[in-house]
Amino acid sequence: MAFTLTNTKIPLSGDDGDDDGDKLSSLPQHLIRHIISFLETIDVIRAGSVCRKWRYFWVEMPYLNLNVDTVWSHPELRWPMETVNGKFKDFVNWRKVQRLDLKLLSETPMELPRCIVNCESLVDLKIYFDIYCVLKLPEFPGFTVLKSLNLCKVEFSDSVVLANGRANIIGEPVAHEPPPSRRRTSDARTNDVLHEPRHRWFVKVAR
Amino acid sequence: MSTPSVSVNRVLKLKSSDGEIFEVKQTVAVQSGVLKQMMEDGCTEGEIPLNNVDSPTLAKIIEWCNKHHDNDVEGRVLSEEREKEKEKEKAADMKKWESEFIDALNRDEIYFLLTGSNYMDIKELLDCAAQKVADMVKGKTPEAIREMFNIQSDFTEEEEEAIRKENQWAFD
Repeated sequence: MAFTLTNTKIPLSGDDGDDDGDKLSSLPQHLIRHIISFLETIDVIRAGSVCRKWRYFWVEMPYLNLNVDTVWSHPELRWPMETVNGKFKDFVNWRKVQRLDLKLLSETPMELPRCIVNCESLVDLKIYFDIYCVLKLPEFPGFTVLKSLNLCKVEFSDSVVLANGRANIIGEPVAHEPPPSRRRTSDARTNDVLHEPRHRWFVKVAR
Repeated sequence: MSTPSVSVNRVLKLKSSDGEIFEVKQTVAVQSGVLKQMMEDGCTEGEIPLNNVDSPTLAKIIEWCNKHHDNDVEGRVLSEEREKEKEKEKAADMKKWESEFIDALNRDEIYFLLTGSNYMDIKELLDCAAQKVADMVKGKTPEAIREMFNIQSDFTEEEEEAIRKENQWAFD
């Protein structure tokens, strides 16, 4: 069947006769991108070892994601939480992730995974709290290159955040204006910027 | 000649790449961005050649458009709530129809549907077909994907090993 495609440029295409075989990778680039946008990153990465033409499909993804609810190939092959955690760690370290948006859902207090705190490439971290949950801050220093931390839907509890936060969230300051007088943060809700003179960490809070 | 952009009873004559003529109501054809534009520009007289769409594909595309054509002209004296309920039912029915429609197609047919709906600019159909292909890839090993799409691996064993190592987290 004859086809005229206007744009068939595919990275690394071997171009040696498409005969009847792999029609999918001979689709125009924007269609491939469209198909890929319906997939999870893990599937696109796996597909990258199908053949040369598919090798860099993942680069076309608008963003990379890891959904712990769908990371399993088959529902009956659910990985134990440990494995998922391991996958997540590898994912964060996989390509020197710089920006990470996390959505947290937990009814029990949870800690930030060590792999995130220790991540040496992470520059922007955004955390959404989907339901009420308590985030325990890490008890060891980290976030060596973190420049902005954006917390959405959050309330601070003085005892928890200020005690641990000051000591442990250490990042480069983002805002440079002189710190306002120390403010109580227990009712910080909307786009508040907290400056702590000694360590000067920056938190943006959106509600 | 003044052309009211769409009239209920008028039909368009679409000509597939293999020369077959299909008649489609204008009210149905507006789902195609390309045909809609042509109607607005008043240049739909005679046969409209669709050189990138063969007749089996065009038949499928028209079947889709006919189904999605909003023929909801029945008297509407329903309460708002009943109306909403009906909308919901309709949406569920449509979803079911869509998945049956797309599941009945083989790999090549889906491929042609993708390129055809892209060419004619029918977004919903394009999305449906793209989703189908994505579902076929989802959760599969590279070997299974190769088999499904009839692809020969052109990596050497060492290369494949290296790629897997590099992306180890994505494999079991």
